[in-house]
Amino acid sequence: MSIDKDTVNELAHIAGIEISADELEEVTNRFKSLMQELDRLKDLDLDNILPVSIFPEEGEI
Amino acid sequence: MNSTEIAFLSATETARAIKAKELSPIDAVQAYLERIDRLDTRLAAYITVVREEALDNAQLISDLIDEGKNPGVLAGVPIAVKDQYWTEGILTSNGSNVYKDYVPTEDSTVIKRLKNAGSILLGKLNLSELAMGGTQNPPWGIPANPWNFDCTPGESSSGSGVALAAHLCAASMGEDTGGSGRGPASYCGVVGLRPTFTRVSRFGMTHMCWFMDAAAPMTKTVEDCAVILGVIAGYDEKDPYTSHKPVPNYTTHMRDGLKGLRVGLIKELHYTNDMHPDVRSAIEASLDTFKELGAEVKEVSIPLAELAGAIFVGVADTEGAGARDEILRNQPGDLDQASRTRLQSAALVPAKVYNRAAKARVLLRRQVMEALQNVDILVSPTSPYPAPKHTDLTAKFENEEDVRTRFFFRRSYTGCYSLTGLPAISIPGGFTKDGLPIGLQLGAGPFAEETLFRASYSYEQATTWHTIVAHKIQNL
Repeated sequence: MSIDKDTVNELAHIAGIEISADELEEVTNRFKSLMQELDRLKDLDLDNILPVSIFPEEGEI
Repeated sequence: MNSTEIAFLSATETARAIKAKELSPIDAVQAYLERIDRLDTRLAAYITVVREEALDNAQLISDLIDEGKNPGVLAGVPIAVKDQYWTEGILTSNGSNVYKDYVPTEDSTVIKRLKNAGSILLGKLNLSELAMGGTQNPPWGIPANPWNFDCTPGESSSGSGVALAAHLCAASMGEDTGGSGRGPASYCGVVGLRPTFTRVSRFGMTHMCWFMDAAAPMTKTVEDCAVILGVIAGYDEKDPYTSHKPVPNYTTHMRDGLKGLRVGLIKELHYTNDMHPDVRSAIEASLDTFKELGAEVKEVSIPLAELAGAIFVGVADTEGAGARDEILRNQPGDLDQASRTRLQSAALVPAKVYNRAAKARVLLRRQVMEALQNVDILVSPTSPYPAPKHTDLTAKFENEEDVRTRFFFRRSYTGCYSLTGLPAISIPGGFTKDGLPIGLQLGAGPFAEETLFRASYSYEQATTWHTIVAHKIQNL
């Protein structure tokens, strides 16, 4: 996904939040960086993993 | 004892002196109140000081002792808590203007248990806004690191670290979601524990995200930490996720030594280009100490550890933004600029990306548990570098690389345990050439806090780091 200020504004609108013009660049930098970091997880084999909230006390999932 | 000598006692030393009637609870409280009056204008550790209540409670404990009663294991010990714990009738600001008038009508379970053990609450401690990090203009002042006033004391339990390092309380409570307790402990040269996730009740602790927030005892010594965990741990019907497992006496095996213990250095968190050289040297020296003490030292691999920071932010910030949705929509102007932009960016993360991070969290847990098949204790620094300057921490992010190096990298070190629900402790592990503290982080398997205390107590007793007084308050 290509991310620029317009993308961020559009997503913010959908999410119902307002980003001020003078902070748009910083939010865009933060969001781009977050997405790039999380993109590094794409190569992991996560097919057979179910996300959980709390790990069990005994045994593994 | 004069008031400075009293204030420099650890929590357990204070408790012993009070029990032996060598020190009165009132003198203990007054010693700390006097230091708070004298030093806290500069340090900004406290948001609220409950002077009258503390003195009244000290008198109450004193009377109980005179009557021959046992008011508890922390009888008369003056403590302070992060302003994230509900305290009946006392402001609980969460470090934010959003909560500047919030006065809870009941105590959190942690506070209740600390009071039941006889401790005396001195006040509520400063923190980064909403227990996140990077707050640029904290409403109650910028907490100063007692080792160097220009440096951050860490986030988000900043006041909890400062108050301990400056001896403005005998013990404190922080909170640790992604390292908010261990980080300040590391930067301030004190002890900070993140217990196993379900070990301590979260009731009455304002949340950052749903399933990673943990109560974090912060103390001057490992023994203090073990005693306080014993007080606050255990099932609580108000937090149904707390474990029913019995709470052991955490000091019983603390002095058993390290013979036979297997200690593993996490390779992925050690052989990185971005680690400060003094931190690397300190960690390697700690391994020598562990060997000398009889432990078997080896290296272990946790491949996903280096991505723990990204996984943590993907899960915690996204959940945090969801939980703060109402504030983001209706009161964004009441938030600090850094909190606002951090939450706003996290609010835009697509569900499939969050889901991937949540799955990666499970994979990381598997990898950590696999490493723990071969060792009892995992070792890394708490942070790859010492306390940064305030200005470095709060500067606006200029570009993506800036965000990556300043935001994600260090969170991998503490995030490994936050994400996996496992216990970890930060203890003083040396100093940089510039005299800033270095935190040594030890991690262990589920509910293996006794092993953590055994290892960290042995290391503490073999070194002198915990006895050195922070430079900036040495003559104050």
